[in-house]
Amino acid sequence: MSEEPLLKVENLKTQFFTEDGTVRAVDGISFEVYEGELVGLVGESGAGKSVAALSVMRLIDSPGVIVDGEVTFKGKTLVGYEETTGEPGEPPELVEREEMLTEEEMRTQIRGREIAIIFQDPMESLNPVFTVGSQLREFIELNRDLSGTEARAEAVQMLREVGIPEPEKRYEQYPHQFSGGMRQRVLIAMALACEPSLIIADEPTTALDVTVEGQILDLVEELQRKYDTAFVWVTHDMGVVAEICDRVNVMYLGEVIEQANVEELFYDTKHPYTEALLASMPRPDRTTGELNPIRGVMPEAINPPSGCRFHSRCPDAREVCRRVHPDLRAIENGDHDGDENGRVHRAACVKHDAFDVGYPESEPLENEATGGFEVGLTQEGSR
Amino acid sequence: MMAVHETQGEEEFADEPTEGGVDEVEARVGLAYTLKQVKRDSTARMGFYIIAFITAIAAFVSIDYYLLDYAMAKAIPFLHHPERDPEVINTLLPPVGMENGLGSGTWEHPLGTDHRGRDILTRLIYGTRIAMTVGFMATAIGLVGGTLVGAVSGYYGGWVDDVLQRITDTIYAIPFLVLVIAFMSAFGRDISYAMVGVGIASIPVFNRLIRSRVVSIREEEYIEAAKAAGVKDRNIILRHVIPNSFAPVLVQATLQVGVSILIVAGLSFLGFGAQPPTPSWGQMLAASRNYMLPAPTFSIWPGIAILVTVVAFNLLGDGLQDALDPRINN
Amino acid sequence: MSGTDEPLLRVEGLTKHFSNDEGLFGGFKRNPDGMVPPVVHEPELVRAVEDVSFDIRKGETLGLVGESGCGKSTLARNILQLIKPTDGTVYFKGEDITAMGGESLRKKRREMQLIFQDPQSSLDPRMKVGQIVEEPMEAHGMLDDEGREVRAKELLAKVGLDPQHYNRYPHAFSGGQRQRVNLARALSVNPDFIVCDEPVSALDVSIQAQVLNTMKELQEEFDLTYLFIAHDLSVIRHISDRVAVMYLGQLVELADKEELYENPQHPYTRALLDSIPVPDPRSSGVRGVLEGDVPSPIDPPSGCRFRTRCPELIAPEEYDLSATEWEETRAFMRAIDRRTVETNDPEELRRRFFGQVPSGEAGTVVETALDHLEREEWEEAADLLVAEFAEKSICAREVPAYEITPEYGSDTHYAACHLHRDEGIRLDPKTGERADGVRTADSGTEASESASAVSDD
Repeated sequence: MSEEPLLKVENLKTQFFTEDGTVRAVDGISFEVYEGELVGLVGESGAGKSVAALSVMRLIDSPGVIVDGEVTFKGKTLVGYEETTGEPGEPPELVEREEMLTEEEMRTQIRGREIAIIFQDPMESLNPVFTVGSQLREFIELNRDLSGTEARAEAVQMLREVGIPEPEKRYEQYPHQFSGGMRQRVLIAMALACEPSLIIADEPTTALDVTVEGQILDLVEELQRKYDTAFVWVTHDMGVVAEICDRVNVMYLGEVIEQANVEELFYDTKHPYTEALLASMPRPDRTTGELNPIRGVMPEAINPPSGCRFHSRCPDAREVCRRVHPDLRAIENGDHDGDENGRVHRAACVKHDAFDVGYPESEPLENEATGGFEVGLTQEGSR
Repeated sequence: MMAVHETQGEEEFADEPTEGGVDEVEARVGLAYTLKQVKRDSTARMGFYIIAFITAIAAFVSIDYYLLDYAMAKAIPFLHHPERDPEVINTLLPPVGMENGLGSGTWEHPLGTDHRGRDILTRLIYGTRIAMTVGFMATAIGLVGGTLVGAVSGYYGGWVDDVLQRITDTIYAIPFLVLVIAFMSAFGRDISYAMVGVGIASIPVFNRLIRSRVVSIREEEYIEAAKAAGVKDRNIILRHVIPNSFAPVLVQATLQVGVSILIVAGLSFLGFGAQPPTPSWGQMLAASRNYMLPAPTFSIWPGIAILVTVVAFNLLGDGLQDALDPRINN
Repeated sequence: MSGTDEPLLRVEGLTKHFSNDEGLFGGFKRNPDGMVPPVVHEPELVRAVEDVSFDIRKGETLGLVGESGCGKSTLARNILQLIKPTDGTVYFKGEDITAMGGESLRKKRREMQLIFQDPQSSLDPRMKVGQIVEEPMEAHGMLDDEGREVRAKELLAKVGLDPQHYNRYPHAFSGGQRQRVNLARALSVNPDFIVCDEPVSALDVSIQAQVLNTMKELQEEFDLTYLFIAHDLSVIRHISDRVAVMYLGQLVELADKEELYENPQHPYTRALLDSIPVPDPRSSGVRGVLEGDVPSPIDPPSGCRFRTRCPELIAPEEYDLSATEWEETRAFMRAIDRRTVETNDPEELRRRFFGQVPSGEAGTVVETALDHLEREEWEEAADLLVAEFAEKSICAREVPAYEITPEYGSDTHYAACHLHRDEGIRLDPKTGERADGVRTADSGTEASESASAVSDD
């Protein structure tokens, strides 16, 4: 693996300007994707993981605006602003940097060609009135300057590649004649058609049955080995993360709160949210007793809690967590100081020594998790 | 590198989405909410105000007609008796400030007079009674009939649905005007029969609409939940099915009022409906036909009245559609 | 957890076939023979649920797991008589509720309630939460207005909501809270039995855990019996006492939770368990991947419905094949049938699939198929292989139903798989009772015509 990241996202902020207020869906996240790596973006609904993935491709529609941050991909600037000025609550005035790609350049150089995307619902991504083959062919024609017959041959080959039996026959069929798993295979074929260096997969297996999910995960691993494509895998399923991801970014309320390779994330968890998430899951491989749910509900991104955003639900919360907003920092660890590529384990929690803000002296905080509010069987989300 | 920043120490917990007072969350259903949504749309607001204005006039003239024997018309300076021919017959005067071969307009009759010398403004104003009564009543008949038939038909399905739908299809297959004219020929030429006729003829419109809604509502889980809980069918229809199917019907009803006004005007034009000397817009149009050349304004005024009213209903209908559309709402 | 021996609910041979024989022209189709009459009345049957039998004991949670389209939701609605079953009986507290109808059934609903998957659509958006919770009580004439309001508020508190939210509309609640409203509504009439149809699958993990905990606590407090339907095997493992696995309308396995997860005996259950992504990067990377897709329930495979995808399809007794030979032949048959191979060159195929083409009768069949393939006659080759190998297997000829000795716990272990024909006790596949008579596939369902049943889709 090369040292330079393929995709570098820095301080990316995407906000939605709605009647009810400004939704800070993605609020200053940073992460990198190296060549051939499978990076997970994991979190519950409302964490902003899908918005983050779409922002990388600049596929955010009004009322959403990428208001700040920098996204570089293979030396090209996908997002980058000179300055941003504006009133709070209003979309800001954005002055784009000169090297930032235009919409036209995004379309012709990046989307589909260099970065492809796979969505959760394959039925919505395919047009029901055209045959699967013709859609695939059109896509290839458009992006790879092939003639009709060449593109057709290529399309059939791609269908075969993703394990669709009888690709010639299937080429002539319509999306509704495909099962859910088969449709997702078609989308993977489409994503791979231009041999992109990065594929963004937005919950691609969530709508599928577990046995079909297994098939798709197998296929992805196989294809990744073959083409050495990097993936950003957006999911809420820690099981899927454990199975296929190399490195993981855990998101909570628009922020990445922990960043680690998969092994460390599960076995040396540094953020209480990740810990709580893992503890709240029933396990397929062993019988669990009482589950430890995360108390309360995720606050809304319109008005996120002060300080650490998880402090209202965190079992380890102290007074200082309410005041100090932690950034994502490398957490020192005697055993493994970064993985073999020197990529370090980062977390945004002031209980670690890397943050010297007086956590140990701080008073424990009464909140929903520590019993300040009665929860669980009694009153969720209210005093 | 100093990204760890302190926020104001005194800041309270951020509100949880459901925390706080009981009434803080806005209800997103109900009449008040709908009206609030409509008010935010400027064209719909315009339609609403025009309709309110015309309806107020119609209410006022109805009182005058039914209870006071046109005492008010006679008492108000710029109005005249809307039905009786004036003593000094000065026919086909143009509006004030204009001239035609028959005379020039005066402030006495701001919009001029008709072929029998009656004041056009007065007759336009008193014509709102027929227009609005017919519009609202015919729509109400269609709405109630269509909703019941459609809801029962859609909820039960099967042969009930088949029978009811074939009957309404039959009504639908007959051209609207033909159906109403046939109805009036059988029962009488009175305006009230026109009203009932138009109402019956518009049952299929509402029936189809509500049935298609009910068929999809029926599959909603809360209907199944009610069934599983042992709620009686009648209550399911009245409490869940109809209220949830009603939004598009309300929109259609608004539009249908305009359509009914137009149709009854057409009927009056053809000689069915309001009989002279009762003032009605359609019948004024019919009378003006013969005087197009000497007095073109005679036919323009009732035309404008019909146009404005129908457009107002359409504007309101469009506004309601947006206000009630859950996709925009949520 | 399991209580007395007398089951609260007993399901016997429950079957539901949906037909397209509805509407004016329903069920008519062009005469397939192309002869007179040009149109025939032949409604297609979707065999959504077929001969499902089980008991649910008082106070226990029976988990029902299966993939989408396997008929688990239909089964739930059949049990509650929301959809009338085509055949079979459901006894609730010893009473046959399939025979009930109208008012007596409506009254019976007080004792059995349903909780839905989608917390959004299962609450009427135009009703306040209070009205929603009170509605079932009102329907059954419980209490007066005031009493209902008091009880509704009590229940809201019980399921973990603020009773002050009595006057709120559902849209003001989060998904997890709406599911709690659903729970309160189901509990309002004090039922004994609740069918939970994927109650937590629309919720986030952390919220899911809250709701699951609440459900467990309520079960203990109100002595409830759950039929808990889900596709998530982790959730099922957490909440259930016993677990039933469904595939294409039939039960394939039913056993005590520990037994089912630690000692699964049906190849489908094993495949299902192997496919779940385990939230542990150190767990062994073996992913049990099933070939192909689920066949259509319109024309399900005869005998064992899983046989077309089963990695352990049993060799027909007619042929004398070694284990390896059979494995190779099976792989070859499936590849040809699903067209997962490109080449039709016999040499290449022989090399790819067989160490050595089996001798004897089986070998002759393989060779004939290869001849067909050489002439590009894929259909013929596939038909021949399927007819000679798949259809002659015991898996295609008899509906499996066995009781086997459990390794964990003492509960009976039901497995619908012929691999257990030697050590297991044969059951009547219709009623699930021990019997001697063997019901062949032909007498029960119209035997499906071979090849088409082995669907590639």
